[in-house]
Parts: sequence; C-alpha cells; structure tokens
Amino acid sequence: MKQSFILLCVTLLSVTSVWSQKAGFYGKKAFIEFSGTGAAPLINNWYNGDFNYFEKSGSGVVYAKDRFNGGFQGGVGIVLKQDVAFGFTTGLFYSNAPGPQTLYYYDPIDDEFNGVNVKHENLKIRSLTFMPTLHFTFDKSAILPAGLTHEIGFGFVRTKVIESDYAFQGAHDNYYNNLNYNGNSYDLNEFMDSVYAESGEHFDYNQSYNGYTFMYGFKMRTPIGKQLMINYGIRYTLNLASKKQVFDFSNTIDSYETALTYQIVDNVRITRLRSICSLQVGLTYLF
Amino acid sequence: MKLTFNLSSRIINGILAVVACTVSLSLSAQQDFNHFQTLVAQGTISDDFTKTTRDKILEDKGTHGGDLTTSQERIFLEGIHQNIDQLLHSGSVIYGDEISLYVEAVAANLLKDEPELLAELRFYTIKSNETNALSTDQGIIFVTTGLISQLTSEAQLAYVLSHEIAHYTEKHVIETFDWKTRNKYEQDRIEKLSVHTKEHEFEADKLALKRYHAAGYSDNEIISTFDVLMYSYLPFDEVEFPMSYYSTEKMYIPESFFATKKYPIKAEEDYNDARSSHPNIKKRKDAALEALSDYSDWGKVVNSQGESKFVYIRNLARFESLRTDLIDANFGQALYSVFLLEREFPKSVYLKRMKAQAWLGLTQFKAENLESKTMPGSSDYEGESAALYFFLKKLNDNAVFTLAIRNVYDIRKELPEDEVINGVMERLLETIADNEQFSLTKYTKKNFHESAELAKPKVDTTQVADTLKTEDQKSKYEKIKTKKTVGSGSFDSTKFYFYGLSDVMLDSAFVLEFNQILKRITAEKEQKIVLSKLSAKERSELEKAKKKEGVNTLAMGLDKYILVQPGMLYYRRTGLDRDQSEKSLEDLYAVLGETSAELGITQTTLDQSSLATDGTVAFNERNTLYSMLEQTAHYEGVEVYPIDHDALRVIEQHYGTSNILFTAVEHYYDPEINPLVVVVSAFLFPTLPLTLFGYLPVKLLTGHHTEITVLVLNATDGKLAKSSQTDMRTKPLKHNLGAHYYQVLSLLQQTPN
Repeated sequence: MKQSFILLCVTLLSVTSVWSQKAGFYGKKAFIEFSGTGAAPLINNWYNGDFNYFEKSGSGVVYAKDRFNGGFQGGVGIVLKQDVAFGFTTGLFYSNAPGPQTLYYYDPIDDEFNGVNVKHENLKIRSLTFMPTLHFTFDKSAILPAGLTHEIGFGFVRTKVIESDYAFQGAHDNYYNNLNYNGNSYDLNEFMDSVYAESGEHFDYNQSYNGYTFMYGFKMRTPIGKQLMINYGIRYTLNLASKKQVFDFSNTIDSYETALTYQIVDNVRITRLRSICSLQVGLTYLF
Repeated sequence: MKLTFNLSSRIINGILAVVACTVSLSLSAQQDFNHFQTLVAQGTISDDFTKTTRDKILEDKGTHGGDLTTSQERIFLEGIHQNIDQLLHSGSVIYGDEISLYVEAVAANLLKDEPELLAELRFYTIKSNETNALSTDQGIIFVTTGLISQLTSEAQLAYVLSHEIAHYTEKHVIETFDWKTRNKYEQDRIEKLSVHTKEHEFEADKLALKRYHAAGYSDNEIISTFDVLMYSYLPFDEVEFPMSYYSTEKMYIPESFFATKKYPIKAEEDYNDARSSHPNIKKRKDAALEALSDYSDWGKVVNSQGESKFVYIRNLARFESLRTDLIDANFGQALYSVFLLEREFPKSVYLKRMKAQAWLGLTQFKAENLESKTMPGSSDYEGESAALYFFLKKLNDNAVFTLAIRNVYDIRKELPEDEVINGVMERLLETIADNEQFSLTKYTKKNFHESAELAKPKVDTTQVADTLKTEDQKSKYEKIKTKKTVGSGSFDSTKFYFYGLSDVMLDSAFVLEFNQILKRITAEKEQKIVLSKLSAKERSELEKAKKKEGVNTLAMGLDKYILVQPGMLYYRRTGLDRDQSEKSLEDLYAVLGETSAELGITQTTLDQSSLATDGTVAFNERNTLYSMLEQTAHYEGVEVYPIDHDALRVIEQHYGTSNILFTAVEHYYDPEINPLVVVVSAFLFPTLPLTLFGYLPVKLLTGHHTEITVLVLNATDGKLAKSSQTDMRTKPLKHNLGAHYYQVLSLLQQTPN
C-alpha cells in the first residue's frame, strides 16, 4: 500500500501545479472516471485450449472454457495541456485460473507425501491495480479528455485467489471419485476433507502475488453533457509476476501446502500474463 | 433563433424599428449619384427569404408528382430549393429596390393581360457583373445588375423578361430534370443535353416574342438584345481612354506607357455551341428574325416607363457594378468604370471613394505580386478598356505606388473630411511604407518638366569672367570655361514617377504623416526581421517559451460580437445530409449562445430567423456583412478596406460592437483505412490482432472530420481581426462543438499582452 500511496501523492502534486492553466473541456481540467472492463479470452481459448479448465457442476466438475473475465476501475485525471493529461487509476479485475492438477496429502504410515490427480474447478482470482497513467492524443485539435486518447501506464498489481468452496474430482475416469488408501476405497472429497480437518486448510487465501503491470489503451470519450462523457475503448494489460516471487513459495518443501501453492501460483502467473486485451466502457465526470 | 444578451428584446425591437424607419426614409427618394449608396432591399420581406429550405420542400411535396417518382421528386425539390435558397441568402440578392421594382413594372407591362401569372412571379435583383437573368421553378425571376448596366433600352429588358417568363410557364426546369433523370447513362450525354436545353431556349425566344409584341414594344430592339448578350463581357460602354487621364501637368507619364494600337473586338456570333446550354447568338438571331415575320403591327415602345427612368435605373446598375468590381478585386475594370461614369458625374463622392479604393487595391495587390488577378490577361485585351489595362500592366511597383498616392492625395484635397478617403490614405501609406522598393526621399519637389529643364546643360556663368574679349582674343582656358556646363545630372526620365509627387512633397503635413507611419511600420518590421534571423531551433525555443508564458495569439479582448448566420454542412457518403445538417446547426446555435453567456460575452445573432422577426433591416445588415466577408475572400490575404464603410458604421452603432463573427462547420467521415495494412496483417498472423484491435478501431473512431472555421472581422477597418481553423476528429456532437467554441471564445476573450 505504501507504493500506491506515493503514486497518489505524485498525482495530487501534479494536479495542484496545473490547476491554474487554461485548458480542458469547457474549461474543466479535472476528471474522474469509472469503467467496467470485460474480456473474453477468445484467442487464448482458440489457440491454446485449457485442458485443465473446469467449472463446477453439481458436486463435481465439467470441462469448460474461460468465457469471460471482468472488473471495474476508477481513476482521477487532470488535463495538463490540450492534448496531454495525467491520471491515476485503480481497479479490480476478476479472472479465472486453472486449478491445481494434483492434491497432496501426507501418509503417516509411509511417512511420505502422496499426490492425487484431480480435475479441480477453476480458481477465481482478483487483481488489484494501482497505476499512474498518461493520456495523450496526436490530434492537435482535441480537447482532452474528450475524443480518442491513448493511455499508457505502469504500476503495481496484487493478485489473490478468492476464497470459495472449490469443487474437484478425481482425474482418472475409471476411478472417478474414489481414492484407494491403504487398501481401502474412500470418497475423494471426504478423504481430502478429513485430511484438511486434520492438517488445516490446504491453501492460504491470504497469500497475495505482487507484480507489475504495464498498460496501453485507447479510449474514446464522447460527451453527453458539459461535465459527463461516455468512455469506451480497448485496453492492453501486461501483468508481470517475477519468477523470484514464485520460487519464494518453495522454501518449505516438506509442506504439502507449498506444493499445492506452487501449482496455483504458476497458474495465476500464467493467467495474469495472458489477460492482455479487454474492452472497457464507463462514465467520465469533469469538474 | 435570435440570441441576445444584456439588451431586452423590447429595447432591441425599438432600435430596429427606429433603424428600419431611418433606412426606409433615406432610401425612398431617388438616388443622388453624387452620394450614391449601394442598393438595399426595401419593403416587406417575402416568404422566399424567411421560410426555411425544409419548409419549402415540405410545402412543395406532391405538387410535382406527375411524372416523377417520390424519390425523384425529393431530389428535384431538394435540388431547386437548396440552390435557389443559397442564392437568396448569398448576400447579393435584393428585393423591393428601385431596380427590382422597375423590372417588376416592365414585367407587369408584359403581363397586363395575364394578372394571375404576374401574381405568381417575384422579381429580385442580383448584384453581380454577370450579364444574366434566370427564372426558377418556384416563380422567381432574377435579373443581374450586370445585365441592366449593359442594356440600351427598356424594350431589351422586356424581351429578356419575356424569355424568362416563358421558361417558367413551360416548366423547362423540371423538364430538364426529367430528361437528365431518364438519360442518366446515355452516351454523349452532354451533347444530347445541350440539344435538349437549346430546344428550350428557342422555344422561350419564340414565346417571348408573343408577349413582347402584345405589349407594344418595338421590333427594332430584339436583335440588339442579342448584341447585349454577345458583348456583355466588355465594359458597359466603349469610350477611348485618353493618355491625358493619367499623364497630367503634375504627373508626366511617357507615351511609351500607353498603347499605340487599338485592340479589336474578337467575339464571334457563330461559335461552337455543341456543348452549350444555349444556342449561339447567330442561331438565336436567325430564329428570332424568322419568327418576327409571324407578327405584324409592331409597336413603337422602347421605354414605356420613360427614357430618363431607364437611364436612371441603368446608372444605378452601373454604379452597383463598380462596387461589385471592387468586391471581386477587379481593380482594372473598376478604374475603367470610374472613368466612364466620371464623365457624367464628375462631382460624385461615391466615384471618388471607389477610385481611391481601386488604387489602394491595386497597390496592395502589386505589393504582394498579385496584380495579375486584378485585370484581364493581355491575350484578353479587347476594345477601349484594353488601353487602360495595357497602361496599368506596364507600371512597375513604384509607378503604381506613385499613381496611387497621386490619385488618393488629389481626392483627399477635394474631400479632406471624408472618413473613407482618409482611411484609404492611411491604409495606402501603410502598404507603401511596408514595401522596401519605396522611398519617399527619392521623390523630388520639382515636377517632371521642371526637373528636365533643370537638367539641361547650362554654362557655368560663375566661372566666366566678365570680359569684352572677342572669341579670337580668348585663351584656350577662357574658351573652356565658357563651354563648361552645370546641371543636376541626376535626372532620369525613365523614373518619371519620382517627379510625380512634387506638390505632395511640398506638403509638410503629408510628409510628416508618411514618416510617422513609416516609423511605426519599420519598428514592426524590425521585430519581424529579428524573428526571421533566428535559427529554427531558436524559433522553436521562443515559441515554446511563449507557450509557457501563455501567449495567446487569438487574444483580442472580445466582449461582444455579432454572429452572422453560422453554417453547418453534414456530409455523408451519398452527399449532403440536410436533416442532420439542420439538427447540428441547432446544436451549433445552442452552444454558441450558451458558451458566450457562460463566458460573459454578449452575442447578437443576425441570421435567417432574424429576417422573420426583424425583416428587411436585418436582411440588409446581413447582406452588408456578407459583402464584407466576400470582399475578404477575394482579396487573398490582403487587408481589405471595407467597401460598405458607412453601412458597417451603422451596424456597429446599432449593435454596439465592431466584432463580426462568421463561423462554419463542415463534417464528413473518412476513416482513411489503408487496405494494404489490412491485407498484409491478415497474412502475417501476429499482426492480425493488432490490426483488428488497434489499427482498425482507432481509424474508425477518428475517421470523423469536423472542420470548424471561425473568423472575426472588424467592421470598422475591415481587417480580419482573428481567425481559427480546426479539423476536429470527432463527430460534431453538441458538446464537442461546445467545448471547441468555449475554447476559441475564451481565447478571443483574453486581453492581448
């Protein structure tokens, strides 16, 4: 949070220094805006089908495709010149990551970790972004923020997996949901529940994955009043998670949680990397 | 929509009523050609001017249904109403003036047995030097001042009007439209259309004879009417231009500057008319002569309203033509017209003003190397006026400057208190002072002949001893001294112009006036020179610094302005979208009113809706302002001295501001997508998403071109105070326009540093 606080301060300082300048739409230079963001990862689904992507169906899961990711964002901005504005954006983006392919449990009899291959419901992940943005246009006749503007931004992103009662089932079609443990057959879900009851939660939902985000977008703002505009456009976001962070979670190799976490972190990282293109639509208010 | 601020509508209506009364009183009497005022509309404004094009189209819907489909009728109605309304609102058309009334009286004479037809027709005058008359499907007959100025009798006008009335009664406009619709893809369409329209012309000529004959006009005037049309490209009279007009005692001009030959008239009657809408003059004359024999008992009427009335009306047209020449920057023609009219009206202040303005214009265009645009090219020299063009063309820069000073100075001597002449002189001296070739110090205080006399060799008497010696008794040195001469030696007859202002040079007030202007202009120029000597980098840095300092090039302290009929054209791929144009125009009006009010700028609107409420006064005011804009457009960046100075002063006093704001918006959509980019990206896979989600949407979103022009003209001096042109890349939505005008108006409102 310290990082984003500094960015906010920088933004407000910029706002103060340009307040007296003559620019802006109807003379108004400051604006706030809210946008809904949505993405249908069509290209990803088309070219890179997720064989490990499952949705909940009853108590089990069924194979599915990632159809829609979405979120919303809000920001403030200030017009520096007729064709340049500076802003600060924060937003939440909800997307789906494939779940783990293997669940682990500790076998006290053999004193070893055993893995069960599962089909796990996709994980709902939420990315919180803080980002200063620069809005500009090559159209010298433009009066920002109206019209088509290009936006670039570089900021901070924090991603978490949303806590939920995720469903899973055995991956082997013949055994389906049965687990053979020490010669006895158990229902996989019941078995894992007992494992969790004994050993605690298998995944730390409070764990967040920090990284950086780079954004380029173009947005059209169409005025519907002297102070209100509809905004719509396309936004390309590249969320980077450093490998270092990923390997940080491997320091307790004797923990099954760690092994699980490793899988999830990897999936989250891949998901964040591929959440590139999204559409946005919202409102901009000038003051 | 009329938007006024600060003044209540009651006060404005009161002022308008007073002005209307004043104008009608001052113009109800016959014109005094010595103090001629340009013709203005008089009486009650008709629906032709106050109704919107849309209303006219809606009213006429269904009335042309006969052979036309609904879609064809719409195209026809839009075509005729748009074009005619454009003409009606061009600022050149007037109604109820003396010429229009005269034309109407002649038409009434022609149609004395057809009162219903007369009641259908309206007669308006176009201030144009084209020799033309035209009738419209709506029943309007237009006659140009150019035509009236060329006529030699009322009967000729009667024949022309009769011809136009025939076009109306025979519905030739719609017939031609119908022909064009049916023969859209015809081979050799232009030639075939030409045949079709020529048939109409012959028919109109033939029918014209019937009414002309019935009205008792003389058959002797028919063939001469075709001569009027034939030679209308020449000035309204053919009078030899004498050298003595410019080469005078005060200013000698060598004979070599004057044409030694006559320029023959080249026009042929039997020209090739294969692609013309009208038959050539020979064919028309032949057809008319043949048709003449169908009638007997020809009347003797040449001027039913009286010859003096005809001559008076023609003079009105000729005085108007002079004004039109100046608006169109035809200074050569204007000077020839002044020469022709001065013979009858030597004391006319109007002619003196026009002459001064023509010389100012010539000087300004010469200084900008644009003089070729002010008179015909040498290959077009014909008739007596060619002598003047020949003379003007031979003059170099200094000769033109000198003649301009000479003429304006002499006029000012006669009219020292005249505001226009003084204004023209100031502008003239500013123009000349700004020209590097001109130096007042080169001008002598002796005229050409005096200087030439002084330059003749003379014996140096101071060197010759007073002696009684005979020639043989003198020494060699005494003989030399008696032959040694003195003289200026600097006399150069080729630079005759330096001797043309000898009396002016003795006028210390003039020299002081010039030197003060020179000082001011030199200081301004030096500032410009300093700037021009800067390197590109230095200039860019200076501009950046100015921007940083917030230097506003539009700043003029605008607090009040007259908005003149804004324009809005919204084009689609298929052409002008009239509905959308009108809708966007409403938005434009609204934002101009709202933003002006928000910024505390007082706006008064002079537009078509003002015509309905304020009538003829508003119409005339708008025409005056349009003429000013037209003059500015024709002067190609040269600073205009307004032709209607007095009328503009009245407007200024009426509205309390000299700021005239003209604005127009034109919109079209062209996303300028390069198909090659799309095709290439389709084959180079990684680039396809970039094209689909980057290149194409950006191009589609920024394909709008909304070109906004804002001009602020100063009614007092005619100068273009400020201008702004923008190609906005968004739709002309109300608030996009609003934000733009807010910005422009707020910049104009700022006080210049």
